[in-house]
Amino acid sequence: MGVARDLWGRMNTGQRVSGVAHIGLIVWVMVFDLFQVPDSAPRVPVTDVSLISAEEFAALTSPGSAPPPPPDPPPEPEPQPDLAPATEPEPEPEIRAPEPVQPEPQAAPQPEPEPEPAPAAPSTGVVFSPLPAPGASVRPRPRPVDRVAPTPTEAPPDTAEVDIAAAPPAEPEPEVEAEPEIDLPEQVETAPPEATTEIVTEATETDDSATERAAMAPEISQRPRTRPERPSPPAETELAAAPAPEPAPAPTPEPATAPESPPAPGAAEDAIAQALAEALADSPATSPQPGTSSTLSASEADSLRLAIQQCWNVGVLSSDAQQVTVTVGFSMTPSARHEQGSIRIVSASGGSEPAVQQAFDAARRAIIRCEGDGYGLPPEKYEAWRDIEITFNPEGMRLR
Amino acid sequence: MTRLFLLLSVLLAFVAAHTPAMAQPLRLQITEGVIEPMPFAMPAFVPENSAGSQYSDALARVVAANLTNTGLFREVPRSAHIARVTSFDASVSFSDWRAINVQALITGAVEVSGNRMTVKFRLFDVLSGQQMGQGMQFAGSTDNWRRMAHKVSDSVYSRITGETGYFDSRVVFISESGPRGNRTKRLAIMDQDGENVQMLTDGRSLVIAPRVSPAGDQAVYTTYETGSPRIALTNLASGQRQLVGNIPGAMTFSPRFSPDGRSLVFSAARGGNTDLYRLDLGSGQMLQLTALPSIATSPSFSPDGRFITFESDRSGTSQIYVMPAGGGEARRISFGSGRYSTPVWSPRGDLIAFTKSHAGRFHIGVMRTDGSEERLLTASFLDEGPTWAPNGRVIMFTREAQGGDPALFSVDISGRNLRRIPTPGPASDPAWGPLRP
Amino acid sequence: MSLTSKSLLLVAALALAACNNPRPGGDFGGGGADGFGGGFNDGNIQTGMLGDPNDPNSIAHFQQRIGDRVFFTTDSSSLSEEGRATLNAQARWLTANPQFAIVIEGHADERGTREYNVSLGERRANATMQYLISQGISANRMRTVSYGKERPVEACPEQRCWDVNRRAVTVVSGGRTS
Repeated sequence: MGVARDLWGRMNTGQRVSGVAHIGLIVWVMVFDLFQVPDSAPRVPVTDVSLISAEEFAALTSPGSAPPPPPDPPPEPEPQPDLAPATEPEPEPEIRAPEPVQPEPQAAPQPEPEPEPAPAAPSTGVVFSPLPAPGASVRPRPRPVDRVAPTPTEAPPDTAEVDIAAAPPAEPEPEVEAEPEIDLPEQVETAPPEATTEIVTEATETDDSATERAAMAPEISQRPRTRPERPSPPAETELAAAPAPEPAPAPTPEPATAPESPPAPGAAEDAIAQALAEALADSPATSPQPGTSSTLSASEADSLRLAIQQCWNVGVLSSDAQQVTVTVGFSMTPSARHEQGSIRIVSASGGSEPAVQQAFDAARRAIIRCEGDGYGLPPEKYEAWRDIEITFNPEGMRLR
Repeated sequence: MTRLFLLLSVLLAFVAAHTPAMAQPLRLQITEGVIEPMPFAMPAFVPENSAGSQYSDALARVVAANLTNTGLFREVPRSAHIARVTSFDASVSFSDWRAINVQALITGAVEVSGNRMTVKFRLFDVLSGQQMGQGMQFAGSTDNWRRMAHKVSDSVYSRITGETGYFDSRVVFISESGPRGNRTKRLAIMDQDGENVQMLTDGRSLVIAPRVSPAGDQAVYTTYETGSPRIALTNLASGQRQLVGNIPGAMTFSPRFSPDGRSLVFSAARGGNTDLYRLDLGSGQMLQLTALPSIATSPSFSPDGRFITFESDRSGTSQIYVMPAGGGEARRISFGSGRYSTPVWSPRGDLIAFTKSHAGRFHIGVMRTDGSEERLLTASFLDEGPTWAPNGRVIMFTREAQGGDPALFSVDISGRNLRRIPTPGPASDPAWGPLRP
Repeated sequence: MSLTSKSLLLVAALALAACNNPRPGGDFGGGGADGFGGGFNDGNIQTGMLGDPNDPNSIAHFQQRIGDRVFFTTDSSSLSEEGRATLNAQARWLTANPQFAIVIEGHADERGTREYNVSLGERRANATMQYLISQGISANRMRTVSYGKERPVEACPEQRCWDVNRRAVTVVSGGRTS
């Protein structure tokens, strides 16, 4: 294998392609022709891409060349339009300005120019290379990060390895062979990818209050930590009989309606806390079977919930699918991993069939993606978490 | 009494624990997710004959760039791939892809004979180890190889997100050159990703603010070739061109197609007053839609053709209105502070994009068609003129940095993924065409 | 697109840009010198002498001594006191030189959207024309055109430039009978 890799490294792209193609061909002949595998590949429907006209093609292949001369500017043979209707008195006399003309509004009629002196005179030349990135802002304000998560996360320190699953990849280096370490991503201690708690647009960035609020976020955010994150203090009421399972590293599980949540200064955090509170309050997981070791404690259930939610990516969902609340059922193996093929839709509401499918796909990805070596649930309570039903409700995550 | 109560409680608890409990699954509710790019892998297309090999890498690059540019996806670079896809029909080793955290895998194959090419692809959900939808195949001319890649991208995007794609579409825009005081402006067209730029006018006449017909075969724009603003209609394939909508003594500009492509709505200015007119392209019949001593311009049809949104300063400052497509009473829908301009109805019909200027800055924003839920997506020295991607999920617009040249930018309707669209030189006034058939 | 065709595109674009590089601006007429038609009507070029600014009947005098333009405040087409004075002088010159026709160009600064600014420029040109009519100049000697924000006379992203770009320019066109 080492030899092969070495060889591979020395080949140029052409040789590689050729080599791969040849090996592929040989393998194909050997394997498929000999054993004639039952057609595992579904038939592919053919779609003919519509072709462009000859002229268009000619134009496309000689871009930049003088455009087809406007065929003799048609000596204004414009269909000299019938102006009669236009010159007639108002066709619809009832047009009325909804508001009297001439109010004062114009709060800020005179757009103030930015104070900075004008940069060098605009270049008049044609710029052929794309500018770098869209104007990076000058002020030190939170940059829009391409991850939005319930908990804000600082950009990991340089030393921390960023989770390959969520961090933007370095520039692709096609010539470099895969590093073997990549095989073991789970064992690498990773920092959660940088995230914000809300979508920061340019426009919100310029809003002062938002800026302040967002600027505070990093200060209160927790340090990068390994996942699954520790549950935030559970606040659920447990049934009286339940032998209050110790752990709850949290303060006073007071009334269910006012769950303790991390001190949350700022409106954004408030909103999140509130959403969290609702989620916690709603969560039926908190009021299941009492007593005995077959009951998950609130914090145990919560840690499972948190683990899955941080892999539930609603970003790729269509706006239709973001209206769908889907309940997904599945079974766990004793090692706290999902049982192959057990993930299914229990119920769904709020969308068309394709939208439900998208929503289900995203939920399924969440369950599978974050299980790693298992969800770390207490084996002695296996009966309590053998069968699980999770309701994914994106209401609070909708983009609009 | 207390004891009795306790006893009861314990009894109840006991019963609860031992009767239906075993059958009850653990129930959780999740309301907080994350929004992050989904990692995908797009290995080079497998060349199915030697002529196909020259496209195997290029096709994959175009597909990967399209997906990455949406901001919804993130490519896991080929250097990280463990498994090599050497046969389109071989089974996929999902564990190798899972190991590098790939969630969506696209495999493709390309075969070329003469100037014909066939491109195939499959999409896999790596986590569940299942194929998403069926494999697909596109056939066409090799000159259209980029379009094939766009078709593949559209299918992948659509299968994962549930939205229709927008990659196989073109954008008409104004290409600029020369000094600011006397800019040369030419009508131009390019692919959605900035490739295949083609000039449609020679730059002798000032041209501004084009729009593409709903079928994508025509463009309409304002030209100064007669010395005064006039509306030109041009066939994008043949280059054939004519001036339309002449109103003697008036400057005519700001033309827009109706959704059926059979009529235009535009502005005519004379006597210090700008009104909207509708022109039937077949008959040349014109109808005046507004008649107030104020400015009414930058109209846009609702996709069902029943309404027109436009801007007017009838209240004293520029604001956005909606009226029936045949004229009639207009309702103001913008009430925020600042001036509102260039409303554009989304192809889905649910939103109106606009330009807003307030406190010395310009924004692109969206609001519902009744004016509610206004959201600003951008902010800069000068942003203007939004145009919708055919799927209503992305907006392109003109941005001019302070003292800089104008350029085309796009942003998605959540306000994320602000990107500059590469153009050969300064560019403005983008108009996004439909998804091509 | 191959590298070759890309370079071809670049070369072609450069060549076209070079060919079409418009007349250098910056002469005293600025945007006003752009005239109507601006040479767009192929072959139909009007030739005229600007003359000596000291000759009160010369176009040069009109442009430099009388002033060929009036300015406006943001989003407004109201003539200022100063603007009216300029137009009064223009009207006197036009009365004294009845052989000339004029085109009034309306312009806006860049702090507005493109199409709205076309309307705004038209409004300014019209306000100027209406004032000249009130001073006895015949409407059939005048024509208006709006350039919106397309032809700034000063191209800087600052207030001082915007102030001079919000203007209506009276362009005297050659001989009346040409």
